[in-house]
Amino acid sequence: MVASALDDMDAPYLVFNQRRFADAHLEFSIQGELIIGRLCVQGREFPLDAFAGVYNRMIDDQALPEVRNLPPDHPDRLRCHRLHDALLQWIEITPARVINRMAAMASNGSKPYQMQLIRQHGFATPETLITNDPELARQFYRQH
Amino acid sequence: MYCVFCRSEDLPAQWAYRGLKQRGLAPLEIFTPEALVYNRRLEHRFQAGETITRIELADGRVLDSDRVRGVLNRINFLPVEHFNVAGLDDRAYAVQEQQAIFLSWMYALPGEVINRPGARGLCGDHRSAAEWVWLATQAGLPVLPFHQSDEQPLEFTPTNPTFQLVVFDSEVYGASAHWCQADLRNSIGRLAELSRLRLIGLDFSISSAGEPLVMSATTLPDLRLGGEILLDALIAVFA
Repeated sequence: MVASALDDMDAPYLVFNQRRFADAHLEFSIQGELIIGRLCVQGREFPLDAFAGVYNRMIDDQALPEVRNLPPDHPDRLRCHRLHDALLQWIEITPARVINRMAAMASNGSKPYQMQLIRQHGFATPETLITNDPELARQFYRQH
Repeated sequence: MYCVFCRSEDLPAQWAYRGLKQRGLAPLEIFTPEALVYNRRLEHRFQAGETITRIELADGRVLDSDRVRGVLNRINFLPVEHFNVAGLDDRAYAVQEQQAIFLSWMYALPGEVINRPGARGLCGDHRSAAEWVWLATQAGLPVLPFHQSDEQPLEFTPTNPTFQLVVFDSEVYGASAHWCQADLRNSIGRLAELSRLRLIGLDFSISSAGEPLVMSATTLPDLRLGGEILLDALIAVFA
């Protein structure tokens, strides 16, 4: 859908399929206030400062079918992780517009924590109980 | 009550606990991640616009959020061995849910919490080396050259001398603080503000020209480097 929209705009874009990590290479340096580096995908090289925006939909690299059954110290698995780690680190700091950086999405990992943030912004939130006490849970259920 | 959240082997935290106790902070207790995780009863409740937590520990102590006035928080990881009996998928889910619950109730604690948890870490937002170096450049700090690629592991093995400064509420503490001229101190303060962390350890390497260059940072500084002056600053916040 995003690619189609970019096509309609005649905007150049690159799709990085993380399952094809074997054909990809990334390196970057922080030099003063500049992030300098390159992303190589299937023989094509792109300077990192050429990217104006990033749409990140990657999954945990350790869950990729190509590596998930490999031993933890298998060279392919290690390299796959290094590539994704470098890519995610660049995504977090690049001045390009990113949808979404990990920092922005991190609160999704804890709904009760996120609920507190939502409440701080003035929204009403439902009464909630988190407990390992079965009787407290039953009381809450009866009440609500 | 006041709390120190730390692992039992966290010597800097134990040092801070003793120092704060000697300065009269009371009641002051240590809670380890094991004690908190292996509780007898946990109640974390959102009601009528307030968040309350009550944890009854196996040793009989009760951590009641209504009574908490301040926390020195040094917990960055929770024990997960008790999930080993579960299958891989269930284990992964349980670890995530445990993290989620602890992030929530620790974040909700009232009073002064140093460092309050963030979405990316129980001891404040965890950042990668690249992020810390980038943040340092944004703050105007000189940094060690940083390079990362998929071809080799990321390693920090500086051959030049290194030192750590403790930064608390944007102020610099530590015997090596004499390296910090006014400009550097101001930039360190900016870094602390950008990081939104009250307490960090900033790691420096000294260049061949004698210039301190930022290598990385941590949410678990060696508090002992801050000395008695740091303890005085902590007690001033808590008391």
